[in-house]
Amino acid sequence: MVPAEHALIVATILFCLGAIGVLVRRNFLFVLMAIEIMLNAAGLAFVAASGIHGQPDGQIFFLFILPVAAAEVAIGLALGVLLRLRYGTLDLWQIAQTRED
Amino acid sequence: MIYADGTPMVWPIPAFALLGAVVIFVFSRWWAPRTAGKIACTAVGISFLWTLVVAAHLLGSGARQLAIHEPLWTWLSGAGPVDAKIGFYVDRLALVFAIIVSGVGWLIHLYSYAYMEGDEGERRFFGYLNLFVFSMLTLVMADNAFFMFLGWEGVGACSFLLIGHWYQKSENCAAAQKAFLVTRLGDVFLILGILICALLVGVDYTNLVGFDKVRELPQVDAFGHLSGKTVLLIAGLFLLAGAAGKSAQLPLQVWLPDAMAGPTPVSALIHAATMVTAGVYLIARFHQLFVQVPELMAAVALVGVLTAFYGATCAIVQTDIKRVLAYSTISQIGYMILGLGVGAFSLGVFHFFTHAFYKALLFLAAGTVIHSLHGEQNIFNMGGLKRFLPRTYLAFLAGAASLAGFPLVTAGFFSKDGILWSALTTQFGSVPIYLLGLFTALLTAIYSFRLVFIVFFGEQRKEIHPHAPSSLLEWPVMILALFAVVAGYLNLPHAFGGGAWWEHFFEPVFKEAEARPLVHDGAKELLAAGASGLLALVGIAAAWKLYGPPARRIVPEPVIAAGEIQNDTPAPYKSPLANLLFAGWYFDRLYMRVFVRGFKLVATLANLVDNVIVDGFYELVALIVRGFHALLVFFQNGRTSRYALVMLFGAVAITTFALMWR
Repeated sequence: MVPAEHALIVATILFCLGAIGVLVRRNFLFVLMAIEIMLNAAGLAFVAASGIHGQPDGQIFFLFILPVAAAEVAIGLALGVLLRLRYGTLDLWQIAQTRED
Repeated sequence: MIYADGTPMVWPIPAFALLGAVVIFVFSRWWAPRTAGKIACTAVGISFLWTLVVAAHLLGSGARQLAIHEPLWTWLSGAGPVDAKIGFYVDRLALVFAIIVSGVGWLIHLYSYAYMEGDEGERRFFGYLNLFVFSMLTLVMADNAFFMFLGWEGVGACSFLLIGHWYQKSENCAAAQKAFLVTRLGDVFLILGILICALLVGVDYTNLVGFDKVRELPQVDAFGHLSGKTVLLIAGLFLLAGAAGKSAQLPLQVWLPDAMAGPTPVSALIHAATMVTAGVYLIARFHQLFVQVPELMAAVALVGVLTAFYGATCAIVQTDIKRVLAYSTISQIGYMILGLGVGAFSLGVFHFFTHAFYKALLFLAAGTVIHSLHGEQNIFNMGGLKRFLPRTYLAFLAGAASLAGFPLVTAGFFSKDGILWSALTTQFGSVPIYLLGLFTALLTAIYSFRLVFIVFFGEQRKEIHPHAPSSLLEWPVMILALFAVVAGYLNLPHAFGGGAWWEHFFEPVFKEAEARPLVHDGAKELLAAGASGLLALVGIAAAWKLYGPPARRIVPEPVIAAGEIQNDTPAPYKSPLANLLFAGWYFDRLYMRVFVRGFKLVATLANLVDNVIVDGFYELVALIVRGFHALLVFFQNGRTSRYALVMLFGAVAITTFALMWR
């Protein structure tokens, strides 16, 4: 049996990886994926905490996170399409530089 | 232009000159260049005619009306003592000055019309010339000291503009700036003196009689409880400094010789006949103040006699014909100031009157000579001009004789002798002052006839072919020559069987302020006059011996290449004394070393302080601000990822804080 603390450590590592991905990635799609990783890290933490405390609240909360993530992906991808149409690229730095003043 | 009671208005006198200037400045650009000269001559001519009308009225009404006071409007009011009005006040003193300014000014205008023909700045020249006449008339006819100060500054500005008429040469610009700055130094003192007078009695000339009450005050509250007499002394010294600046008296005389860079008619009008005598007018106008303090009178007399001596010594070695005349002007104004300083106010003004004629004449004649020789100014390149310019020679001879004080037949003799006699015999006079003045008279005779002998006698020096001057260059000079001879008889002393008309004419102006000679001995006066007359003759003889035809000349010529004389010409003589005099006692060098270099030193230090300390502080402030700026730039770079990073750090910090806090 893997101790629940280990799951929390994995969640932390995942969250940091996601955060770094959001900060350093230039491509919109990868940023979106990094955000997904951060969400799932938070979900893992909820489940792990649920196990530690022996209560179901954390697992129920994860069920709420799932549709939030799905909605986020749907909106994010739609935004991505629009960005591509408008700027011809998904490079976020480039888009930031061609902002309309 | 005549009031209901028959008094002529006086404002048209300056107004016509101003009108001429305005018309020339506004319209003459569309007209032929010569038109400007015609307008200028007409304008000043009308001013002169109207001055004569006013003069005829004042002379005709005699004691019934001694002055025309014409207040026009209030310029500044309600500011305490600074209650300046615009108005004119023509008493006999102002009248004499106005006659000279407009009359001699008119003759010089006519002369300039011929002299300036073909000059590229002809319109500008005549515009400024008219503006000058307007300013000078304002100066002498104003009814209060503030309005007078306006005219005073106006003539200074016109003097600057006209000295720098040929501004293409940088020496001329330097001379103009020098004249402007040096006289401005005097003007600072003048306005201080006027302000003190304003606090004491007000600036209206009619109030100036109040100075005798000020003298009685044991202390004046507004001046740190100084005694009334001390305050008067300070005010008088300030006024004297102002007069010294404008009238080129020691120690502010350095600008006048350089001012000769202007066209010769300008030298005649501004730097001989009118503007430089403004100081004489000032002291004569404030005579009520000056006579209150004997020490002040002594200072005036001392400045006058020392300047007279200074100018004469320098004039004797100059090689530029105009510089000789410039130093001679300094010297002659010194005589005028001496006359005022010994209390002989009417005689000081009389010397101004005669000097205006003969010095304007000398300058105009010199201008004709220069004109005929195509711009040659070095007298050692002239010579033998008597044959080519006979009429100019006669006029110049009359002027030089008047300047030298040739006895009995010239105006200069009577006016100068009156001053010398007063210097010996009035309560303010003394024997040393008299002797120095007498010695200066000898020097004057020598240098004036040195000019005559070198320029007009002997052989022609250089291959310059003189061309005959036009008649307009000659007949104004002849009129001036006439006055230079006969003007002296206006004040034929009692000792010569005359009526001293001039002194009586000025009795209503100077009243008891005029110091009467304490000695009433006709024989002694004749003796003194004889002495100065004899000295003049001795001087002329000495000049003949020293500077006559070259065969007999015993003074070696200066070693200067022809036409190379400039203000900074290195010592041209072998004798150090002559070089000292040539350079004007090295006043220029002294001022250059003390004031100009001193100023530059102070400026360098100030620059250092400014750059290191003052700027250092502000640069430090800028550095701090720039640091903050760099910090902000890190956060606000417009990239979402940077904002996200900052947010992340913030979230981590808050979380950590919250966890630690618990």
